[in-house]
This record gives sequence, C-alpha cells and structure tokens, in this order.
Amino acid sequence: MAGSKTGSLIGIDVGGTFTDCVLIDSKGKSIVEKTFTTPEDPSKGVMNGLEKFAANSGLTITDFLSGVVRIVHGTTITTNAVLTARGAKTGFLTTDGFRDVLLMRRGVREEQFNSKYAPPTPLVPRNLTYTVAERVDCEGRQIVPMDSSGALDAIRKLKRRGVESIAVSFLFSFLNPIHEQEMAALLKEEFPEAYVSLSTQVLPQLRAYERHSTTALNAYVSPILARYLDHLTARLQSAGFRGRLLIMQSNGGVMAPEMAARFGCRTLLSGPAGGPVAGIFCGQRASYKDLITMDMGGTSFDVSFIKNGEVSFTTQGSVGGHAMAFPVLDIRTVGAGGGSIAWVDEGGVLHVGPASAGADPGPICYGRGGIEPTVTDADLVLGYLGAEDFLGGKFRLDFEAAQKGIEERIAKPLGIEIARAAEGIGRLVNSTMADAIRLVSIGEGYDPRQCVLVVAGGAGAVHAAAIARELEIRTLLIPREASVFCAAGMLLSDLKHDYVRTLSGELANLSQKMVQDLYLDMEAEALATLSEEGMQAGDVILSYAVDLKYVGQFHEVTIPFASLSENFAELQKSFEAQHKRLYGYNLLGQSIEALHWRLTAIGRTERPSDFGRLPSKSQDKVPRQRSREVIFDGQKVIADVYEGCQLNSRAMVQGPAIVEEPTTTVVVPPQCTLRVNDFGDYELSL
Amino acid sequence: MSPIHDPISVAVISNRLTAITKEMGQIMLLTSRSPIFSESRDFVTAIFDAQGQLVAQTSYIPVLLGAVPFALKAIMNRFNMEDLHRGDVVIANDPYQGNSHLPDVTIARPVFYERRLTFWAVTKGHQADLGGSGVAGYNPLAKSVWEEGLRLPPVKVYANGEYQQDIWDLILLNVKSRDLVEGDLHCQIGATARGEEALIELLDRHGQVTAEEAIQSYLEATEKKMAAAINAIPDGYYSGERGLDNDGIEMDRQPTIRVDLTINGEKLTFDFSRSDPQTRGFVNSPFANTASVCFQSLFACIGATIPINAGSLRLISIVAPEGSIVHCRQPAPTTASTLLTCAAITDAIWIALSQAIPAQSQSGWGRRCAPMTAGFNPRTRRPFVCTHHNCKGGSGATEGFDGWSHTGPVSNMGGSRATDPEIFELAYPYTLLQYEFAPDTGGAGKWRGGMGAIIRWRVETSDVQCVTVGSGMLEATRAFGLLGAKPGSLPTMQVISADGTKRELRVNAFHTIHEGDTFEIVSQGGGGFGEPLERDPEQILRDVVDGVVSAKRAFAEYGVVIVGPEDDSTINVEATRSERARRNSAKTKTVTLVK
Repeated sequence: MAGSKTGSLIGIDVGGTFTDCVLIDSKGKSIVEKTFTTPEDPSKGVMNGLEKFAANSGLTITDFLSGVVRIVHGTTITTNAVLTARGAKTGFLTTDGFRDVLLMRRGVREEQFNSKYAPPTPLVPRNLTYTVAERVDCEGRQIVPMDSSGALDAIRKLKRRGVESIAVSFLFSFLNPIHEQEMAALLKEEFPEAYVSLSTQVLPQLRAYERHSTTALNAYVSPILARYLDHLTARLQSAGFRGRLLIMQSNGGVMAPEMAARFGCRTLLSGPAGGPVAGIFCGQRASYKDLITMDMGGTSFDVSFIKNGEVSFTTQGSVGGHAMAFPVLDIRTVGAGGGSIAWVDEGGVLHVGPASAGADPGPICYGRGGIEPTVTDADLVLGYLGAEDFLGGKFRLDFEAAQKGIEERIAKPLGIEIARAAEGIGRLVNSTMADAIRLVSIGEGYDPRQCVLVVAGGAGAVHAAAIARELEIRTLLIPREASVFCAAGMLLSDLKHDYVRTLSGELANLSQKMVQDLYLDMEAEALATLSEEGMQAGDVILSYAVDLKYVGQFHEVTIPFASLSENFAELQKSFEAQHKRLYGYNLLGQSIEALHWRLTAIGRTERPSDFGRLPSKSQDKVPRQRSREVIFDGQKVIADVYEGCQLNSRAMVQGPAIVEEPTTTVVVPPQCTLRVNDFGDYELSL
Repeated sequence: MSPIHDPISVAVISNRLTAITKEMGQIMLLTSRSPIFSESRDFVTAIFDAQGQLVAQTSYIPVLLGAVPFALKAIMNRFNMEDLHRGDVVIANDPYQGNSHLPDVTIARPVFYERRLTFWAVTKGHQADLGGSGVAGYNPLAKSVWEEGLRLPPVKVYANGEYQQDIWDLILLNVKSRDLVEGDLHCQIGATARGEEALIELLDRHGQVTAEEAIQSYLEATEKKMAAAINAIPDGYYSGERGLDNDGIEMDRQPTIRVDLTINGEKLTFDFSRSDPQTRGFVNSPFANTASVCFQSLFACIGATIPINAGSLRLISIVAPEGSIVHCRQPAPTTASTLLTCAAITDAIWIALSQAIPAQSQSGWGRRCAPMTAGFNPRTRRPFVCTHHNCKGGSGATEGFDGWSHTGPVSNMGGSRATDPEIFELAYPYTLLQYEFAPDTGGAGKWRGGMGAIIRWRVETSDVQCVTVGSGMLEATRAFGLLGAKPGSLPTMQVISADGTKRELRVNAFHTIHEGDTFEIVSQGGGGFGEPLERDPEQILRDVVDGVVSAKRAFAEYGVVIVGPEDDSTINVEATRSERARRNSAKTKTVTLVK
C-alpha cells in the first residue's frame, strides 16, 4: 500500500481559475503551488504544477516523479461537460410508454415568476430516446418480457445515428434486473464499441426520474472522463511517474482511474468534496468534533456540517438542473464570494450578488477592466486587504480605483460616506452567508452555536469572524492551507465506494436472510473493486445503513447500523430517535418500511500523520511587522499586521490585527484572540 | 429619489426577514407528515408588522402569495390588542373571513417584544383533510360551504402557550385523516415558532427602533420599484374574458370572469364588475383568492425581481363586487377556487395585459383536467388519497421562449413536483401503462406552447371513489394563444372498461369506477405565442425529429414541408419557401379585404 514513509504525496485540485497543488514529502512537510488552469487540456496545468515542484526541489521532472508514490486528482471535467452541454453523444433506452420521464424532470420549473428562460439542455434529446416493450411490476415480477427484436431495432438505430454512449434504465429494474441484463447482452453483441451505463449498476434504487437521470449523467460524462484520464496517465507515465493515481469522488473518497472511467457520475460534485475531509482532519487533530466548514472563494460560498466527525450525505444532488441521486457529501452552495457585485436598485436598496465579476474582469481593484464594485473592493477600502500584500505581494491592488467605484456606484446613490458604503457591502454579504449556514443547520436539526467554524477559501478568513459573530459561534479554525483546502483534503481521503440494493417491505416482515444475501452480494462487489485498487482485505472497513420510513410516508431517513446480525427492533428504535431529532416528532410503535440497503466500503490509505506539524517552540513575543488603518464597526483603528510565516505554534495575536498569508488574509477583529495551534493552524476566539 | 435614512440597515434587515420566512419554510418541508407540503409545496410563510402590513414572505406555490394578508386582517379584527398574548397561536380557514378554500389553513402567531406586539409570524398551507363529503376535499355537488368541510373562524389553538385541548378535540374529531392533520398543523405551528425566535433575535441585534424604521423604508423602496414597473406599462384601458366549463351543478353554463384593467401612471386597477354572479357550485372565488391571483398573474409578467410585500401590493387596486364569482357571498361553496377559478382569472388578466405589454405577457397554460381518487389499497392494506398531480398540462409560450411541457397547473407555475411513476404504483392500487409527452398538443406559434402528456393507468381494485376536477375542454376555456398563435390542444379524459367500452368523463362530477377500468387522460398543451408562419423552420424540424410535432402538423400549422422518416427528416427548403409565401400573401389579401 502506498504510504508517506516511502515517498511524497501530491494533491491536485483543478478549479475554474487555478489548479491548486499540495505536496507532502516523506517527512510531513507541505509545499503549496498554484498554477493557472488550462481549460482546453487540464492535464497541461497539472503537469505545470508538477514541474514547478520539481524545479523548486532542484530535480528533473523524471527524478522528482520517481519519488512520488501517490497523486490524488480532483477534476471538474465532468461537471463542466454537463454545464456546457458538451458530454458524449448519448442514447437512452427505457420502458415502452415512458419515453419522457427523463425530460419531464418531474414537471418542475424552478423559477416560478420568470417566464423568460428555457429548461436545461437535455442530456439525451428525445430523438435519441427509444423505448422497448418490457415491464416489471412494483413487486419485481416480470409482467411483459422484453421484446428482443424491438430492442435490437433500437440498438441499430442508435448505432446508425452515431451515439458513443448508451444509458439503459427500465421501470422497477432495481427489483428485477433481468431486462437490463438482456439488453446489456444485446448491446455487447450488436454494438460492442458503445459505452454502456445500466441503471442497475449505477444506482439500483427507487424513483424512476432520479435513477434515469443519474444513469444518463453517467453515460454522458464517463467517456469524456475516460479519455482525459487515459491522456493524463500517459503523460504522467512518460514523465516518469510510477506511483498510484487516484481520482477524487463526490462522496469524499477516492477511486482508481479504471473505476472513474466506468462511473464518471461519481466525480460530478467532487469539486468542493475535499473541503469537509480536510475540515474533519484539522478539526480532529485540534480536538473539535462538531464543525461547520465554510469555503468562500471568488464566486461561491460552500457550507457543510460535520457532526461528531461525520459529514452529512445527500441523495438529492443536481448538476445543471439534472438530478444526481448517487450519495454525495451534503455541501450547500450560495452565490456569494469576493467577486460578488454590489449594486443599488431603482428603489434605493443596496444588494450584493448574485452576479459576480469572477476572475475576469474581476474586482475593480484588480485593474483588469472591472468597473462594478465587489466585496473584494470593499475589503480593500476597509483595510482588511492590503494593496501591497495581496497574494504575497505579487499582485498590487488599486486602492484608489476601488474607492472611486464604491463612491460612484454605492455611496453617492445611497447618500452615505464611502467607508460606510464599503462596510455595508461587507455586512450584507456576511449576513447572506450567515443565513446560508442557518438554513443548513435547521435542515440538519443542529444549533450552529455549538459548532466550530472551519474556514477555507481565499476570501474566507477575511469574513469569517464577522459571520461567526452573527451566528454566535465562539471558535474558528483556520487551517494554514486554507486557500488550497480541497487539494489538501484529497490527500486525506480514503478509497471509498457506495453500494445500494433495494428490498422493500415492512421491517417486521422482512427476512433477515434475504437482507444478508443482498449484503453478501454487495460485499463481494466491494472487495473485488478494492482489491483491484490495490487494497488488502484487512485494510477494508465496511459500514451499513438502511433507508427507513413510516409506512405511507414519502421521505426516507437513512439509519446506520453496526453489523448484519443487528436486530431489526434496534433499527426501529434508531429510526424513531432520528426521526424525532430531524422532524420533531415520531409515531412510536407505528409500522416502518425498509427500502434501500446501503453499504459503504472504505479502503484506508495511509495518512501523512505529521502533516503540517510545526516545531513546538514557545514564542512569547511575536514580531510585529507593521500596521495599517482598518475599519471595524465604523471606527478607524490601527491594526498590527503580521506575516503568517513568522507565527510559530502557540503564538498569540490580539485583535485588532491582520495576518498575511501568501494566498489569504486573516482578519482579527478587536477583542478577539488568534492563537496558532501545534499543527500551525490558526484558532480564533471571539 | 430621496435617499433612505439608514440604507445599510434596510438592506441587512430586509434580507434577514426574507431569510426568516425561508427558515420557516424549511421547518415545514422537513416536518410535514403528508406529501402536500414536502412534495407539492402547497404552502406559504410570511411575516407581518404590528399593523398587519406584509413585510416578507416566501410562497412555495404562487397562488398562495397574496392570500395571507386578508386572513391576518380577519384575525386582527377578531381579537382586541389586550386579548393577544405571548404564546398565543391562532388558527383560521373560513373563506368568509379572509381565507380562500377550507383546506388552506392559516396559522398566525403574534410576536411580542418588550411586552408589545411587534410582528406576526404566519403560515398558510393545504391540509390533507378538513372533513366534508368530497374526494380529497373536492365535492362538486356541494351547494354550500358547510358541505365542503369544517369552517374555522379565528380561534386560539394555543393561549399563553397553553395547548387548547377543547379546540383540538373539536377539530380532530371532524377530520378523516386525524394523524396527518394533527401532524401537519403542528408542522405549521412549529414554523411560526421558528419565526418568533428568529424575529426576537433580529430585534435584539438591531434594536426595535432601527428595525421598524428599516422596515418602513424598505416597504417604501419596494413601492418605488413597483411604481416604476407599473409606469412602464402604457397607460390605458385593457380587458380580458375567460371562463370555466361548468360549476359542477349547472353543467351547461360556463361561469365567466371578465376583467377591465386600467393603467394610470403608477396606479393599476383590476375591475371585475362585469364578471358573472356567484354560482351554485364549488368554483366561487372568495375575495382573498381573487386578489392573490391578481398579484400572481401580474408578478409573473412584470415582477420577477420585485419583492412581494405591502409596499408592492399597495399600488394594486381590485374592484370585485360582492355576490359575484370573484367575491362570493356566504354560503357559496369555494373548494375549486384555487385550482380552477384561479386559471380563469389568470387567463383573463393575461389577455388584458397582452394588449398593453405583449412582449411580457404569456399565453394560456394547459388547464387542470384530472380526477381525484380515494379508496382502499389492498396491496398495502391501507386507505389512500390521490390528487393525480402527474396529469400536468403544458405551459404557455411567451415572446422568445417555447412553453414548458408537463408543468401546470398555472396556480403552481411549475412549483410542485409530479409523483414519480414508481412511487405512484407503490402508493396506489394502479398500474401505470403510459406516461409521456402527447405529440401535437402544444399550441402552434412562433414560440410553441408546452406539451401536454398522455397518462394511462389501470385500476386494480374495486374500492375507488372518483371525482373529476377540471376545465379547458371547451373552445372558450382551452389554453389560449396570443398574437396570432394557436391555442393548446383540447384535453381528453376517458375510462375504458375491461370489455373495451369507453366512457368520456365530464369534468366536476362523481364517477363510478370498477376494477380493471383504465383511465386515459391526454392533458392540455399550452397556448402558442406569435404567428406560426414565423417560426424558424429549423426549430420545427427539431420538433419533428423529436416526435413532438408531426410532419403533417408541421405543414398544416407552420407551412413547413418536412420529408423522410421521423428520426431522419429534412426540410424541403424550396417547397417550404413557396408554401409560406403563398400563405402570407393569402393572409395579406384577407386583411386587405377586411379593410
């Protein structure tokens, strides 16, 4: 098994603007590099990052890569394919009479008062959707056998029309896969070169639309991902890489490239998935278990909840308006970030966002042609950002232009001073982010005041203290790698695969033997996959859960259980307790129905245990670098400014103060104390 | 423009108030026991100030957006200030005291701050059952509101925080699904408790004076935005007229809504004086419902970005004479007002608006035309109630955009989810045989109406009660097209017995259903927008290749000649050009003759 003792580990997260790279060497020392993302061929940006690492260590790329044992790669190539409607040309085969379930999207139009927009571009147009006579009923009985000649006819049409990929999803196939299997056999014979995605392999669970959509997404993106990974693997190999390449998934785990090529849909929401993993790691080593992670970048703000070291999952994900029901980390996103644009409406009311200046042209102060004032411009005017200190001083910000923009577009129309306008922009965006956290915490049934706020993203540490104050959160944790948080998280991720089988019925009447058979089947699949990925059986951890609901209810609650010999009466108790916690009531003793039986298989990868640990020497006196004028609550104060690299573990800084890190800035308001913990992470107490 | 005194507080506080209504909604979505809240999202959450002005709201389905102010006003009229205390929770559903129809129950909680009534936290939502003798609450034979279910005047279900056992006993004894209703009422009450908690936090944080000033400034600023939007509509007098197929009792008379819309600067008046008198059957609209539909129809055309609060609503006047179908007098029955009459009022208003602002108006949406069924499911050994929300019609087209398929009814504007086909079979004693778009149902136009759907299911038990609730089956009620476009298709609704005999089902009537019967419904497409001959032939080719418009229809409606098999068709460019030229010149001639 790959491990840090034998060589270096690298995490590479390809984002919209930057490709973030984190290297941890065999001694646990970490180095961070950012390169520009190269959208036409993202592997170029990846190689650029690796070359930078090589150059920094004075090695050739071949020598450098020969010492790397593992590269974990996060890519948004599948997400972008969906958002830009540039996936593989895909056909869809489904049950006769039900041609449009995929296109109907359950009849929802998301913006009810807006009549001027079109539905999302279909993954599969209606003309590439063919139906085949076949039917399984809601108890799994075959009531119409599959019409093989009709199926062949449909396959030939799809072949003639030049599709590259085919999704197959029949009604109730998760209860009886026979027709999907027959179809797969026909496809293999008639059209062996097609990429085939079966719903019974991708997501064998209830709800036709969600299953169809997840299967179609898988067919739509997997060929794209497979081509990219082939290309990247070839480049890495020819550059001398002999270690293991792993791909980040949306469930917070990693998988081998071969699995990723089959199940591309599992990477669709993987962009922010490293964040909670890194949050758990940093939280746990600082002895915090209940966390809220926030990641504030240029255009979006991501939130996730971690209770007792566990992230919540959701099966209600969506990508570009298409349902994605594969379990993913429950990360909520709102459109608020450093680039969010401030504007005044015709009634004289101030707004921030949802429009963003993005990276191009960016905020006014970037001097790249932006003319609309943004949150970053306000941060500069308030002194939170230093014009000379941004990105380690490599990029000078234009203070005067930012000030002028806020004056003309915000302060004058509102009839207030520039500083007040800038502060207003900050307060407004902070309250929007606090509202997003409140909404998630209500959904989870938790009180945010009991949690530690883990802060990430380039703009996160500038705003975090103010957000925490609004939520009455007392403690913040700001990892040193905050700006490349997701890439760091990837290095901490285990191999992880989720499986589901459906066996529905009242819990009291289900045969324990049938449930055990389902799990034997899933376990065999899990162990085979993990062993292909280089895992020994002893390093595999299996965990079990089942979706339960009261009979007649429409929403299930996922209840974990410890072992296959678990008594169903115990499950009933856990369900009732969880139902009460989430929804405020339960119906003691009423019948409970089981639906989806889930297995999660984790193959532990070795963690860089000393990752980030700093030499623990006490530091009584922290050298103050300089100071600048900063505005807090309408008051101008002089804040000390420190360089992050000067702060060793156990250093303490009293607010008002600013700590400059190469890729982020930590704002310490008056009366707050910043402390560096043993691992080099900042802890801020309000 | 006179600047606002404290613009930052105004922005922060108004954002927070809307966020609070969303947090209340989140509680509703999570704690609801029936799928009416969690799946159909048939509820609204709102905050009012001490004077009863609507300050912020989130309407999860549009038709409820404007109904709450009237319900709260009735509640405030009922109780003197000194009769209201912290911990009180008031319930009400009476259509003749500010509500729309009996299933929509208002729950209002007065919020006190420093012993003074400062806010109201309110929710209104559709309860699964409020008694009565219909199916899923719908009874087309009811001739009075008393036959439709339990009427609740404003009464306290909690007083000073004390659970009012007597009132609860009284309510729950009168409903069939006791567990469901008890749970969902608590869900609504829980949402107002979250509202109270969050509002007190807000007042603690900002101070009462700042908060109250900020709210008034915000309402004034919203009024300005609304004034600007109304000002942009050309001054004038516009009118529209649209009807319903029947009222359930007089089956041959079409109740008709007539609206005269006057725009005068920043004042807008909907005058319904010429509308029909109230009817005997269940399609009467109480004033609160009529007002709500006016707001909904208007905001759908001009107000996608304008907040809905007392500031924006105060510029809209509504004239609806008492005793008319849009302002019925007690004891007229009202259950179908939100589902059916809503559509007719919306259509009349959009026809009127299309004369003023054609580019922003919308064509008619496919009307609701489907059964409600209930009975006993032998497979699950449980009773069931099914509202058949999967029989959605297409939405109307608008300038620049085709309508959305299978999205209606217009009262929900796409806000409610259709039941998943697999859940449908698991929950109900039905086998679904077909559920897909119905070709050639969308009205032809430069922008095409959305498609209706064909839905067929076989009944697998003998114990099913069925009532149909719908309209749109007549020329005068179908989804209309605008600016030269065609209307949406006429819907069909029939039952085919096991022996093959077919029965057409009339709308708004009870029907007998047997085991082995197959329902077949083809829902209505949306109306088109603009001249069909102007539709881009490439778009028509795409529709033909997709199988949603037939080649025959492409020629008949659009003058486009398409040749070849469906999935491999091409346009005969030359034949199309000459056919369209021929029709255009024929049309010019007709116009000249008329002149």
